[in-house]
Amino acid sequence: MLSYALRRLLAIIPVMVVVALVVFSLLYFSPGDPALVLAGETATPEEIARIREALGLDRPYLVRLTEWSLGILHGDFGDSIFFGRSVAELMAQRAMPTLWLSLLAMIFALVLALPLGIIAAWQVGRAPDRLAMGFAVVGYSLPVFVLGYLLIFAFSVWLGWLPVQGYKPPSDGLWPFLSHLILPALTLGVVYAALIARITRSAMLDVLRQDYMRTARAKGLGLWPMLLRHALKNAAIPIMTIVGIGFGSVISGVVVTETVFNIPGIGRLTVDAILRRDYPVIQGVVLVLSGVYVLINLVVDLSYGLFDPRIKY
Amino acid sequence: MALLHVDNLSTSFKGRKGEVLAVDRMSLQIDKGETLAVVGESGCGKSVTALSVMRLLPEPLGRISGGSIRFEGKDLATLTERQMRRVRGREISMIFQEPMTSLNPALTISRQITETVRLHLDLDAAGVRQRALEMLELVQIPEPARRLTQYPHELSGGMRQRVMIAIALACDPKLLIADEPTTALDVTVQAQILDILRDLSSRQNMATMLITHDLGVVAEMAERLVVMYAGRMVEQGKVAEVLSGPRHPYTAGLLGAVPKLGSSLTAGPRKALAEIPGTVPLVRAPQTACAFAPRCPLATDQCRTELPPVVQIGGSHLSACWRTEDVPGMAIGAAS
Ligand SMILES: Nc1ncnc2c1ncn2[C@@H]1O[C@H](COP(=O)(O)OP(=O)(O)OP(=O)(O)O)[C@@H](O)[C@H]1O
Ligand SMILES: [Mg+2]
Repeated sequence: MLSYALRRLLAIIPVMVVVALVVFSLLYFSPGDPALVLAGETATPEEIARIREALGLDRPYLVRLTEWSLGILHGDFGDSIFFGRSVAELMAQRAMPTLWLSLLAMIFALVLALPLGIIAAWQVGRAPDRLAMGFAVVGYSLPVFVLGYLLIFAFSVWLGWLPVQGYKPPSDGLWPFLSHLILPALTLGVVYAALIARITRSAMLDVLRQDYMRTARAKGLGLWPMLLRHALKNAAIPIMTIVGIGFGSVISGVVVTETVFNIPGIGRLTVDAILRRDYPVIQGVVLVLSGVYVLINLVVDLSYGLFDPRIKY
Repeated sequence: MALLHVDNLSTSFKGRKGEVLAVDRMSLQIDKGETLAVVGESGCGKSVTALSVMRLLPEPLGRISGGSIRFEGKDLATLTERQMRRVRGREISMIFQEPMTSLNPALTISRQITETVRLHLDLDAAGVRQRALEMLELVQIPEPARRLTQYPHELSGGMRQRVMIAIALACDPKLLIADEPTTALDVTVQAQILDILRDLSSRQNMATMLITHDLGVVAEMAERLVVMYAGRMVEQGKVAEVLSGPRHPYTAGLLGAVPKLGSSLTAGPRKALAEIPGTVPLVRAPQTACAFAPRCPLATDQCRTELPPVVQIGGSHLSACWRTEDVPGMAIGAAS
């Protein structure tokens, strides 16, 4: 188990190298010049050239790539062109709101999706199933920003229960913290929940037809021990897989959600960086988020052994 | 009074092409401690009868549409699901044909035995574990303590079926329904499993409804025999009586050549049911004639138009045939 985990961890390195290469090259060769943005509308060509030189933007591709890669090995993602501060520092500063947001979104998604999927499978073809799957289709196809504005309109503007926008750290008290996060986390979690609910339903349907479920009923077990102890554990692997893969939807959703709800997190940092052509920041963020995604999927893979005793590492 | 009295049971399934009457006014009785064998060709409704008694039909597609299932005074057909849960695993247990897939692959053997015990018996944690261990010993599983911590995939088919028996008998049920418990196992393992079943049922004074295709098993294990055809009882009686003197042409056909009574289970070739030309018809409405008539060498116009009544041939020997008097003289199925 431990050696398997280590091997898998090592296997992440080539993946990250490729990601780094792609990210760097894409941005390098994409149109748009940060020096132009920095210099402003009225800058003369000389001024722009001076800025390019000062930022090192005029040096060749390979030199910059090597420099950047070597820095990352030391945890140095370079400096932000716009802020003039280290990218690592910027990301660390913005990490917490995003972490809380995605954690809460994940919890919402699981709390919503698992019961929906389980009940839909148990009541397959009947009203609860149709309702749950209807929700899943709507949740999956509604754009994140539309859902975000709808929720803001309903709960903040109309009912006045929750703040419209902004972020408060946990140190400001539990309710201010949570009340600012509920709507964004819901917004972010719904697509994820729709994904998980559908897989949960199909995995449970598959399990419910198995002979051992008939045995469980023949023992006199009640509904919940049957669904949870006997069925869910056997359905866990496809569910965990989609929890891992679907986390991509959370990462991409973070950008829009933080913008809609004005949360100073990694997502906003990314949007701003893109608008300002702040390449080092974009590169750093993409690299770190890819790392998070890969790691989460590694944890998911390692969790399989918990659910299926036939899996040995 | 019988322990289980299935009376005029009808069970139907909704299908794409309309309803199928898998069991059509079926009756049978099992006394306390008695072993009743149920035989019949594939598709004649044996499993559906058993599942109806356990109320394990795939509702709402399959449902009991008539009759009663009286067990110790209560009618199982009308119990609520909640009431039925106290019967399953406690009063009536069931083991299935497929040992490879009937245990939950994700739970330990210990978990799968103890959950039944915990559910139905009032024992403390140590008592529950003790009971699980004891059951594994009773079904003659070597190294029971180690087996408890294992998962089904670490056990062979024969061992898994022993575990199924251990689970089924853990709460001392009054009735065990065994639906072809050895069909999926190889011959030597079959004999061991049957020995264990017979031994435990007499030790716990438990009644058994044994569904089988194997007349050798019937002769060895059962006191009485019910023969089913197209969802109905066609003949029943003491095993010796029915096997040596069948009084329904269908039974006579199944026997083909009757196995010698008392022949050992392990020695010699075993007797499967004989082939009868034709197939079991799919029944869609309550039968109004003898369903076997199209395949029966003795069939008359009466057989084809009127449902034969159940007649008593002597003692407990019953037959549902218009021509039951003529069966002993039939060319096929002569008794040895
Ligand atoms: N789940 C089901 N859905 C629809 N019809 C069913 C279902 N189960 C059984 N039936 C019908 O009931 C009839 C009797 O089936 P049953 O399983 O009781 O036969 P059996 O006597 O146990 O046969 P076998 O010896 O093959 O086990 C079948 O022919 C089939 O038409
Ligand atoms: Mg069957």
